[in-house]
Amino acid sequence: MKFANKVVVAVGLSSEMFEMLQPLRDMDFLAKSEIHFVHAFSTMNYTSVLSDFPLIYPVQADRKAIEESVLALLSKCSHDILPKEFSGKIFHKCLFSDTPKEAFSDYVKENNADLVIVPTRQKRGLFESSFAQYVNKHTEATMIFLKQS
Amino acid sequence: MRSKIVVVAVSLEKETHRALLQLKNIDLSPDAEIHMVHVVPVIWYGRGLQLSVLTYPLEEERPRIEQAILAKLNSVKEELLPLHTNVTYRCLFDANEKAAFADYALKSQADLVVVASRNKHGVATVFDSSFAQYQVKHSTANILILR
Repeated sequence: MKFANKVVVAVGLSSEMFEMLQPLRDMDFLAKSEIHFVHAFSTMNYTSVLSDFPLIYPVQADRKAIEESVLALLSKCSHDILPKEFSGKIFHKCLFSDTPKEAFSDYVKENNADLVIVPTRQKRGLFESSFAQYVNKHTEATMIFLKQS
Repeated sequence: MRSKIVVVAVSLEKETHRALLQLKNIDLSPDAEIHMVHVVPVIWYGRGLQLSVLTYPLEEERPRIEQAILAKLNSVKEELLPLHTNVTYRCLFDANEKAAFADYALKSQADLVVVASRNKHGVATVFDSSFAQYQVKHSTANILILR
């Protein structure tokens, strides 16, 4: 079985995060892979005493525009970080969830990814990257954590 | 991957060895400095009312254990990375395996840490060493967790 047949990459939308994904260029074993660049957009739930229904931000009406701009950004940046000889397939996905780490882990499972790449900031204690810890614990795929240098 | 210093945790268990075999597929630079590291857990026993502790394995047994493990690390390296020549083999003895390994990776200034995980989830994680989780939390290097 080929290694890294299907790869899911977690992408944050800051320039710092894109910078951390630069080592992908040197990962020649990804040259023929199917790579999914995924951003999980965090939603906020507000409850109101005046309504039986919670208000979720961003509202449905705004999501299409947000999704389009996220996918455009993913598309633009992902081409800059692919290995030189890349001949595989690329997919871009924007997920909306109030628990981005859970949504991302579910996406990995649903797509049967065999490699997951997560950039992670060097935060410790209270503010450490719980995203990386969560994904590591809840996926069965091989993982690469790219740390901020 | 263009990592210059790679530290590989080798547990010598069959389960993790299968996962470690995937390292063959990662194109590590042939001139990378590879560290093959195994940590032998040390157990401390208190001796009743005497103010002394007994550690297992005993000090006098350690050279023999170390020799056997270094030979095993060498054979694992030949299987995984036959073309790499800049290789260091290290057998550490420590009561806290995960911390000892993380310290070694830090002191070696590793830019890639490789860990093979047993992939235990849910209730099974109660019995999991959480070795990989510890490295994710404490390592400053990139981490590859093979499953």
